[in-house]
Amino acid sequence: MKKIIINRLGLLIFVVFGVTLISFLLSHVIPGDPARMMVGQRANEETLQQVRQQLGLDQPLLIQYETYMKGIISGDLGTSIRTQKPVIDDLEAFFPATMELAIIAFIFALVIGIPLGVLAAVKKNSFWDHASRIFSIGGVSTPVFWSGLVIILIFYGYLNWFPANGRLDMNIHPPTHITGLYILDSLLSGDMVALKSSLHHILLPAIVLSYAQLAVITRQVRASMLEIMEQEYIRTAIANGIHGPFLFFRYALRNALIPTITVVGISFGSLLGGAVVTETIFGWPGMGKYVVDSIAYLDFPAMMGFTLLIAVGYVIINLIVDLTYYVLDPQIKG
Amino acid sequence: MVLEMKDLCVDFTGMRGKVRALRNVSLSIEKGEVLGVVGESGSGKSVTALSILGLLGSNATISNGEISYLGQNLLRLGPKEMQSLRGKKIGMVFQEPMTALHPTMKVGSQLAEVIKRHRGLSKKQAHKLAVEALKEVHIHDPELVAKKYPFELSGGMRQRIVIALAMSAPPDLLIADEPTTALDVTIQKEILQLIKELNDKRGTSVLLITHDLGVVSSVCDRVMVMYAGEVVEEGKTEEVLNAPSHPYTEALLHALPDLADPEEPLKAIPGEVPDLQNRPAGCAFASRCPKAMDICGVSVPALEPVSKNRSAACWLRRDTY
Amino acid sequence: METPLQTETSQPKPITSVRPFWYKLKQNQMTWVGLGILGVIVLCSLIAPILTPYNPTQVDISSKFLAPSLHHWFGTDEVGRDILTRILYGARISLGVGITVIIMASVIGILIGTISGYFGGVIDVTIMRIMDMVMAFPTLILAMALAAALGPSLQNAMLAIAIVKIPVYVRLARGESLVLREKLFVKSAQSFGINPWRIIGKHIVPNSVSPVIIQATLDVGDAILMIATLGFLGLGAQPPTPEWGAMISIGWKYLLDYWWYPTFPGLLLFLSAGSLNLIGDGIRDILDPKAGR
Repeated sequence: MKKIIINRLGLLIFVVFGVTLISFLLSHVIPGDPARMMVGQRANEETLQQVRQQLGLDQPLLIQYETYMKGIISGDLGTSIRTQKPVIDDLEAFFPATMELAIIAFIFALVIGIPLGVLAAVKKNSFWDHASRIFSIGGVSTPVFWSGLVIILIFYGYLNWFPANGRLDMNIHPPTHITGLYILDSLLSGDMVALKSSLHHILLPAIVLSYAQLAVITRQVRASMLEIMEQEYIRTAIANGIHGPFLFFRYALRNALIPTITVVGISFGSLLGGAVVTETIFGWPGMGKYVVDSIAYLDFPAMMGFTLLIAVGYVIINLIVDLTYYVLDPQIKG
Repeated sequence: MVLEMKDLCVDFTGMRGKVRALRNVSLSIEKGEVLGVVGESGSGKSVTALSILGLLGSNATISNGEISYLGQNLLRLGPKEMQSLRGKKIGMVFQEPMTALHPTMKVGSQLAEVIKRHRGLSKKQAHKLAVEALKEVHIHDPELVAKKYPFELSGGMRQRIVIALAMSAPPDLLIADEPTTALDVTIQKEILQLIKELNDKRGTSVLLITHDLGVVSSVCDRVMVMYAGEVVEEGKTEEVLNAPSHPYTEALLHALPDLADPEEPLKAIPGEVPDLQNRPAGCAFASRCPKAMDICGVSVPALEPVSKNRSAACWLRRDTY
Repeated sequence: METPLQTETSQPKPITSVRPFWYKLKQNQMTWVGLGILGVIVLCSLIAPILTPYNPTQVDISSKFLAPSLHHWFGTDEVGRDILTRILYGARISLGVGITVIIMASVIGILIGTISGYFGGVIDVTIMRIMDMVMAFPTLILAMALAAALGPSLQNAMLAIAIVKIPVYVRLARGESLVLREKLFVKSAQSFGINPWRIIGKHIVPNSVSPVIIQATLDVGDAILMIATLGFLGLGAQPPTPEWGAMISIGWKYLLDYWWYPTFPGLLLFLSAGSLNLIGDGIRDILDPKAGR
């Protein structure tokens, strides 16, 4: 176990290095002239030169990379052109909102997706199976921005059951800052008003965000359940009188979940991608909305800082996924 | 009579239409008896076993016949009643011990789970009995083995555990589908001895399915030979093996490796099992039979008594008894 | 309910002909639904000039924001263009771009993957490590960053999506070529001293395409969604191009007053991606019986 963790940590460092290399290429090499991008088309030659010098763009690439890496290690992701604040501070401020949305959406996807996949597999070729198939093909085929719009149109526009903007009602103060996750903070500080409002606000965006991942998880659970149900040990268990939920959950699902975990890890990555769009549609003040707002200003440091942060987070999540294998499957040792 | 099967017909629906996998198969097992069912793969012996426990796939239908267990018609039972019968009254052991156990559950827990179910015991009591059950199938150090995962054990050990699972209720009938085929020769012998021992000690009836007449001769009281979904010969083991009535049984015996002469090459039965989809008009074995007559290609011989304890389905025997 | 179990006689022997393919395709009604929907969309977009009297980019301020009616089935937009017309012309862009992107990614992916698998050693390690780095990013986010770095335009968005899709094909093709290079016909070709590039071209690539085709079918729908997402974020096609994502990106601001504006382009996007996914799902079920069932 220890060996594996050390091994994986080594890999982690390598991949993080790769990620910084790619984001360096994206921010310093591909755009041709980042300085021109920063100052805009109308700026005169003098300002351009000044910015170039300021950014160190007149230095050779290797030196630039060194400076870039030094900055990253000390937590400096540059200054946002739009907000004029350090990107790292901006991201820190918007991070909790994104985390909260992603976590709730992820919980939806797992809590609904796994039982639905089991149901579809157990009742194969029944109404439930076909319904879940249509439901999940819908999930991977629906663009997040469109399902978001349709849901806003119905639940806010026509029914006015749910708000469609922000994390809280305008007149409600955020709960005492503990983690930055409003639901958790309001629970911890006993602020029921804020709790109610934040749950009310998070429901629609979380549903929209979770749908695609829900679909992927349902399909994967169904497929691996079907594969497991054909295995001999299941037949032995049935012949030994084991049946019903116990057979499906304790005997089949447990092993069907092992391949599902990889998919779950990848789907968390797609969830972060989807969060960018969902936050924009629902005016959710998270990192995704921040980065989309930056696109309009061609705010390069902000976009690259975000990309780098997400990639590192994604690598860490996949590391955790890898490690859970060893917990779930005793056959993999050492 | 523990189990009686009468005129069972099973059809499979596949890509190319319906195939009849079993044709009027009848068998009976007395209390404490060991019945061997022999045949090549595709002869329908596994289908026979699976149909008893209602484990045929959804593409199979039982179109005719009756299976009764202690006088109770199993084909009339609902899914719930069938579930409570499986393992508890009729246990089953499959061919492949390597894959027959839950790969990520400790073997002791798997046993305890089944015991708990059949006897309605607490978890703790069930665990104690699980260790006992391991001891009964001659596993040394059962306490330690109970804490292991299947992948940590050898094939022979696993098959013992599978047998312990099947015998845990304990059932009145044990169905063993090729229980030794996947094992090494020395271990095969031990497993057969174990089955025989459990049969002697507890009086459990056994339905032993195999393609190996050697296995039959060492443990079975009676033997039934199947070919292309039909019973072709049935009788007391010594009688059938010493003087087979059906040319197919004869061919099977002939194909047995001669232990006295290990140099001799293995003899296979010439020809192939007929395609069940396009079953020939007469006797299914006719095309491979060295003694085939004109009538064999035209009309199917019925399974009829050829001597006191013996039946065969062959035109050659029609006039002798 | 009984659990289906395999028994030795339960499956007839596999027949090596196209019959099972057609048999399964006939069984798979969902695939037909998908083919039907996609067929209608493709046909309508091809004969769009006949179907509609309007021009997709012609501005007509006097008829802006007209609700769906007999004249304008899907209504009009903020400068009076007919939305149905724009959607039909937009289908050419979305479907064309989706297919082009996947062809680009799969061709490059096969090349890199076969080279990596065939030569092995340092080349293989280097290529695969680079792929690992690319795969360390969530695909959409990397595509966003790439498109932004290259500068917002439809061509650059296509390039960005193609790049993020390459690693999947590299892995597939590498896996195939690792197996193939051990095969007898490759070994014998090597022993005759045939140029390795010839071997790759004549033996490895042609034999490793089939899993790539399955993957590609499944990927086209995703590529269409990605191109629309980039368009929506302002990183893809720029107005007034009638690209669906770009249309929605302007239309969603008018959602509550003129619901039809973003709704119909989105619906078509959903139907195209959905029908492609139905088809891909069906093909996978047929070609890879282990995956679906």
